[in-house]
This record gives sequence, structure tokens and C-alpha cells, in this order.
Amino acid sequence: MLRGWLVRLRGLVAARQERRELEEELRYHLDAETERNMAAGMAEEEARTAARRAMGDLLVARERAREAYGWTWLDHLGQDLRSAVRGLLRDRGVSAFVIVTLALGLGATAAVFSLADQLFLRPPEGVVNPGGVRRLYMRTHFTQDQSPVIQPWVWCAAATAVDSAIAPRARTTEYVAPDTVLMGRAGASGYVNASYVSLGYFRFLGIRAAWGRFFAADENRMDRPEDAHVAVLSYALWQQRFGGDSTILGRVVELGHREFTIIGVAQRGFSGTDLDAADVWMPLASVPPPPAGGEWYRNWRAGGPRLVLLVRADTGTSDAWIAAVATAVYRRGEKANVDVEPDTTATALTGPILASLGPSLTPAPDVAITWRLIGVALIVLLVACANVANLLLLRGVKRRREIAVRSALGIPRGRLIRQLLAESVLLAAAGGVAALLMALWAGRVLRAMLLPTVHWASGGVLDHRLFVFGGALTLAVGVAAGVAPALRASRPDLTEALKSGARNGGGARSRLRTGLMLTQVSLSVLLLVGAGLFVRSLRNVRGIDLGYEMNRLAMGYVLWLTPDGAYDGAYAWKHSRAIGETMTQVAARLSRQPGVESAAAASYMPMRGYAMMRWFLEDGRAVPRLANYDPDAMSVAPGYFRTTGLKLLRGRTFDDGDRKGAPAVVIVDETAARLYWPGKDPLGQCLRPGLPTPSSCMTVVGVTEDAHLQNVIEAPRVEIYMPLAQFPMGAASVIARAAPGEIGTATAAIRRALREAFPDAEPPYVTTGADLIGGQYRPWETGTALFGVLGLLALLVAAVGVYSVVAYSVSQRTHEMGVRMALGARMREVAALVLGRSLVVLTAGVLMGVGLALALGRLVASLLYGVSAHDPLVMVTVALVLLAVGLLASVVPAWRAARVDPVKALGVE
Amino acid sequence: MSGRKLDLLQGTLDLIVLKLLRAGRANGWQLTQSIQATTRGVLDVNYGSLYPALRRLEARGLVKAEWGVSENNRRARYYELTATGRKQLAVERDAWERFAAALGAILEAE
Repeated sequence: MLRGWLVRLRGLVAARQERRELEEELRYHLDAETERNMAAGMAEEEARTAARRAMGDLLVARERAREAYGWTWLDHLGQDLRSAVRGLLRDRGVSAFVIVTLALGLGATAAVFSLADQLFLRPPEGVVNPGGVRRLYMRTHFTQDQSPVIQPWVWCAAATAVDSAIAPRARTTEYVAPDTVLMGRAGASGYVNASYVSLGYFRFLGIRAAWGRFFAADENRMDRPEDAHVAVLSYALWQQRFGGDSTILGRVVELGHREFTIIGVAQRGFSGTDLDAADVWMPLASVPPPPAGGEWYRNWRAGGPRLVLLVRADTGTSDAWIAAVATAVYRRGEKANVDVEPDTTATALTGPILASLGPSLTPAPDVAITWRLIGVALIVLLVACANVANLLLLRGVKRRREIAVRSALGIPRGRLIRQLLAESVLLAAAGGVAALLMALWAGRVLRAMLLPTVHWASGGVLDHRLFVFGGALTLAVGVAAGVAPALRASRPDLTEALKSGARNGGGARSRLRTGLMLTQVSLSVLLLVGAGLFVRSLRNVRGIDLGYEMNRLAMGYVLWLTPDGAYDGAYAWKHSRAIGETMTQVAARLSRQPGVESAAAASYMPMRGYAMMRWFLEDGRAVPRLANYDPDAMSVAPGYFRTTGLKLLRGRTFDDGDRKGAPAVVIVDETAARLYWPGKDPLGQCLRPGLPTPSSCMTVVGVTEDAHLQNVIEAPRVEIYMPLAQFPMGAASVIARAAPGEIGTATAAIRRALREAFPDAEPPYVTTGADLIGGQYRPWETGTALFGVLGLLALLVAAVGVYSVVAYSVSQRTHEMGVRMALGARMREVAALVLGRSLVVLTAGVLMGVGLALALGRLVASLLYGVSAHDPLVMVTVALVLLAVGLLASVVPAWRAARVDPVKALGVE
Repeated sequence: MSGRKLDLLQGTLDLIVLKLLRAGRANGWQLTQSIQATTRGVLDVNYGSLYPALRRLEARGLVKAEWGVSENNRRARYYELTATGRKQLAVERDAWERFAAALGAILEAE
């Protein structure tokens, strides 16, 4: 037995030598035979010929001998693959279509998988035993309206209390979630993601230092922030920004305008535990205080920074116990969260280390979209599979005679199935390779669309797991799509198949094809309905009039920091007048620049305003509030309205006469005019700003159209405009209206002008109106692109599916058509017969699809705007489009059926 | 029977080869000569069958092969029975005899 295997193995390994030996052996045989013949008296030539004749075909002997070694299956596999390639090349059109279909289906799935992998599957790199780490969340209620909220953070004080309460049975660590901070000085500066972490952070996670060390106890004392100016870099940042410089330790860098000494580099790959990768870590004690003044500042003073709390339980300690202890701490009245009244409703929750899997009331948009993406991608894959199966089925049927002949020649059924499967797996493999390329591209696009802020430090779109996933998927699809057709094709009724190709395609087989066609049609409907809903949502959202012509605007603002790096809101207020005057000069200079039509100074940028003030009417009553909000107020220079495109409805805009000392004037928006002085002329009315008590009258001189304050989608608010010269309000913005196509020139001009005019400020923040609000349209753009592209794809695939099914059934019924024509049926009737049947299937598919869409509508409802998930217009349009496309796909074969020549059809066999 | 050659039953060739090798090692050509001589030309072994059969037997470990020198001083491949082959020969011979006896019984029965 063993020896047999050894021989066989040797046969395989030394196949070539084996062949040579056999040839030599046979040659010896030939020679021996020839000699014997010569001995019997033949001439040499004659003897050799006779010997050769007697021996038969050397080749046959050789092949048979090889077969005896038991490696024929390898030969057969090669043959199967070769014949598969030949078969596929013969039907190039079909093969190409199958490959493209598969590439799209598989590619979409793989790209989505890479996204889902990052969000839901891959634990943070470098963390030891990430499964044992829990995040603590707090569920509580807003005091204002009692609406529930789940927070991924607690105030530092509460974190400390939780820490000591669970200390006997679990360890904790805390950090401030990564946020951007300026690294370096103006000029050679750039933003990095910084996280402030507690003392044991790295040890807790099991992270080692690649270089240098982590924080020491005396560098992280909350009472001595001045000793905490040390920083640890991520390996990636060290490589990218410092070129892996080995003299980095001890170097001083500026982070948020404060100096930090670099003491270490974290181990390669580690970028924190959040989706937002951290580039640099600093001690918790060095967190800068928030801007002085305001509620947030008071809370911070009382509770410290807001911290993410991570817990590692000892063995035997349950999540429930941790949650219970933390809940008790929160309810005991610790300063768990100062935004919330000391409340007894707070509950601690635990979640896995991946924040995207944690508890939440409203999942983050990227998470929400990724879940739907997975669904959509799987649907596309299903459509693709159905289509491929259908095409293979048709090919199989087309080749029935060939298969029957082979079968009659004695090729075993197993071998036949293997040959057919080889074709479908080969097709799938080709599709898989194409899909990989597509996934590479689509994965990048998806990441850019959905998770633009993530660094993706850990690995590219494609990693080995995607390869494994894609490979497994490809194989599964190849086998799944190929096995039914192969089984069917390999079981032909021999005599029938050999006799005729005409009268077949009977019951069960056509039911399977019809089922596949139904699946394709209904799933296409589902995707197209999704696309329609998103298109309508996007149109609705884009159609919202913001008031401003955002696409024409370029704008910038400047801000100042306190010496310890915090935003210095007071500075701008204190120097309001001077800043306002400088800004007005900047605007004047800008408006003379080429590419800029006009420019104006203002206290805020459009869509970035948020200065709520109390206002009073002439009689001292407070103005009515809209949805509990005080009106927003901003100061603008003359020319602001012309620049932003905000239309004046009544009265006048500000002019140079509205200066300090002149009568105080104000412009209100439509909503204010209607709300404050119903039925009266707003012009000439009096509004009194509350500072905080009502001060003297400002006269309304104009009414503008309503403008949005911050969001594309927001409830109506009131905006009140004051002249910058009279009431500067920390004016720190300038807005320019760019000539068409000159937006880039305008932003560059603004950046230059602000740098020159305010050398002591932070580098100016300059942006375009389109960029400022562009992100707000993204959910709908993403949805539209996603459903649109994939929906059209599914439609195309389904159309080809319908065409092939109908065309095939026509070709199978040529005989029947011929009989009908011979019996006097007219062309129109024959065509109607074919079209009628496909109309029935199409209608059924469309109805199924609409039903599915209605049932699944609520899954996307939260992502729509101004349109119901059951929108009848979308449903009907999609249904009609699908019917039309389906019928169109059936017309060509129907026409062909109608042109059957009865004589030929009946005589064809 | 004379003048007509018989087709070999499947598997019989293996038995024949094993039996012939029982007498000692031989190369392929010698085996064909032996078969012809022993059966007086009744059995004419197809070369296309013999060598595959030899390879098959070799793969099953019933014979082993090595290159040797023939009488006319040529390199030839010589086959030899292995211990397993010897055992197998006994088994197959036994089976054959029983088969032949059974066949004979059927043919002789009236």
C-alpha cells in the first residue's frame, strides 16, 4: 500500500523522467521485436515496420500506462480547464457579461465588507486582549425636555469615583477622545489628532513604547498641570512628520501653542481605540481649560474634562456588576454630568471596545449607512448570482446536444458535472479578479464618502482577510451559480436530446428560470425604489432656499488664543471696534481684487452664526420666541446683503451713514416682521436689545428674506442684523462674492489679506460656502449615488436576464411557433403570445418588488427628507420603468418569433 | 479454437503476468514472448495493454522494476515479483480457479 503510494508519488514528481523511461522501455521492446523478425528472415526495414505494426500506437500505450499510475484526474482537471476556457471563449459575449456582472456584485460586496470590517470587526490595533475591554456609557435624560440620551463620556470627577468604586474587581483607564490640535507654529504647522490620557492608559491597553517611555506619575498630576507638558507620538506620526528621526526624544514641539517635550513613541500600528486615529498623546493633567465664561466652563471647573472610561474586569466579574456599581456612583449625586441635573435616572451601560458597536439611541450616520450598504450590496450580489445562474442555465441547455453526445460516448456523469462546474468556477474566478480591482477602487471611494475623517492608518482597503473573504465568496458564487445548471445539463434524456433541440425546455426547468427572473426583477425594483427615494430627498434638500447664494461665497475668519492655548473669545469682544474697522478695510481691499465682485465684513460667516440675544419691543415686552429660541443677531457691514445674495424685501440696507453716533438702525428678516408686528408695517418699528435689560430703541429700516443660521435643515429662526459700525460684536469675519469660476482666487485673496491684516491672530480659517455646507448634503448624495448606481446596475442586469430568458424560450418554441403560423396564426398574434407571457412574469416581479419595498421602507425612512418611504410617485415610476425596460428586452425576441418561417421551423430537424 | 485469438478478460492479464514472473524476472518483451509461446499463439497480448498492466502492478506494489541488461546487451526494464505480488498471485489464482470451475459447471450442465 505504502509502496504503491510511493510509486505513485514518484510517478508524479518525476513525471517527465517517467515518460522517458517508458519510451525507452517501449523502444527496447520495438528493437527486440525487430531483431526477432530479422532472425525470422525479414529485411531490417520490413522487420521494423512489422514490429511497429504489431506494437500498435506507441502513444496509446504511453497514455494508458500513465493512467495506470493514478494521476489521470490531474490530467483530466487540466483537460477540463482547457475545455472550459475553450467553451467560455466560444461564447465571448455571455462570458464577458457574466464576468462583469460578477465583478460588480462581488466588488460591491467586498468593498462594503472592507468598510464593515473597519467599523464592526477589527479591534483597535495593538491592544492586548481587546475582547476584555469594556467602554462605559451613561444613559440619562436632558433636563430641558426629558429626552433620553446616551453619552460615551463622563466628567472627570465621576470617572475618578467610578474608578475607586470598582477598583477591587476591575481596572479602569480614562482619556479625552482624540481631537484636532495645531502642531508647530504658523507657517510650518499642521493639525494632528491629540488625545489626553490618564496615567495607566498604555499599560492598561498593553501598548509598549517603540522608542523612549510613557508618562511618569509626576508628569500626570491634575494639581500640577505645569509638569505635564510631555507628549508621546504615534509611530505613524513619527515616521511621517519626523521621518523616523531617532533624536526625536527630548525635542520640544508646539501643540495648540503650548510647548511639549516628546518623551516617547508608541508601538507601531497603535492609534488609540477610536475610529478617529490619535497621532499624539498627552497627560490628562495637561488638558487646556475651555474658554473662560459660560456654562461649559463652570462645569469643567467642577467636573474636569469629559472622559471616555475603559474598564477591564478581573475574571469572574460580570459586565452587569460593573454597570451596577457605576450606576450607583452616578446616582449617588457625584458630578457625573453637569449638563444633567443631579439625577436619579442615570444608568451605566457597558459596550465593547469598538465604539460603533456600543449602545446608542441614534447610530452615527456612517454606521447607519454601512448597515444599509451591507444590505444593498448583498441584494446586488443576489441579482448578479441569479443572472449568472440563469445565463449558465441557458448555456447548459444550448449545449445539451454536445453534452448528450459526450455522455453517449461514455464520459461519466461526474466528469460532465465537473467540466460544467469548472466553467462556472473559472467564470467566477475571472469575475473575482475583476471584482478585486473594483473593490480596490470602490473601497476607497466608499471610505472617502462615508468615513472621511478616519485616518485608515491600519492597512489599506485590501488586506488578507478581504482576500480570504473575496476568495471564499467567489468560490461559493461560482459553485452556487453553476451547480444547478450543471446538474440539469448533465442529466439530459439522451435520446430526446440527440433527436432534437426543438421541443424541450419543459416544465421544471422553465419554472426555475422564471423564478430567477422574478428574483432579479423584484430586487431591481427594490433598489430602484431606494434610488428614487434618495433622489427625491436630495432634490428636496437641495431645493431648500438658504437665503444665501452659498456657491458664490468665499469667506474667512480670524481668532485669537489665550497664552495657554485656549480659544480667547474675550479678545475679539474687547477689541471689537478695532477689529471691525480693520476688517472693513480688508473687505474694501478685497472687493478691488480681480475675481472678487464684492466683499463685506461681518461678525460671523453665513450659516455659522449663533449669537442669541434677548430683544424687546418698544413697550418693553420681550419679543415672542420661536420654538423657545431667542433671535440670533449679527453685525454686518454695508454690502453684506449684496455680497451674500440675501434679498432685501422692504426698506433699505445699511450704508455708510449708519455709523457710530448716527441713529441706531436694524434690519430684520421676514419671520421677525411677521411675528413681532403682525398686520403692521415693520419699517420704522422699534427693537431694543437686552444688555441684559432693554436699552434704547433701534429703528427697523429694512426687511430681508429668511436665511438659515447653521443647517440646511432647520426649524425657522429669527435673524436680526445690526450695522457693524454701530455694534461691532467681535466682528472677525469677511465674506467675498467671487466672480463665476473664481472661487479659488477669492479664497487665496482672503487668506493673504487676513494674514497681513491680523499678524497676531491664529492662521485664518478660510473656506467656501459650498464646502461649509457641502457635508450636510452628503447623506443624501451618498444614498443617491449608492442606490442609483447599484439600482441601474441591477436594472441592466435584469434587462439582460429578461432578454435571455425570453429569447431562449422563443428559440425553444420555434417548432410550436411554426405550427401556429402554419395553422394560420398571424405574426402579430405570435408576437403578442411571447410578449404576453413575459408581461405576466414582469408584472409579478414588479409587484413582488413593490411589496418588498413597502415592507422594507422603514429601514431607510430615517435617512429620507420630505418624502415618505412609501412614496407612490416613486413606486409607480419605478414599476413603469421596469415594465417598459422588461418589455423592451422582450420585443426583440418576440419579433424574431413572429418572423419564424413555418416551413423552416417544421423542417428544421 | 485454433487460428483464433482470444480477447483477454479484464484482470486476466494481471494474473498471467504475475504467474509468468513467478518463474523469475523478465522484461516486457520477454513476457510477450512467453505468453505467445506458452499459449501457443492463442493469446496475443496487446502491447498497449501489457505495459499499462505492468505499471498498474507496479503501482499496486505487486511487482518491482529495475533497469538491467538484456541478452543482446541492451538496457531493458526488468520486472520481478514482490512478496505482496506472490501473495496476490495465490489469491487471484484461487479466485480464477473457482471462477473457471463455476463456469465449467455452468457450461457442462445440460
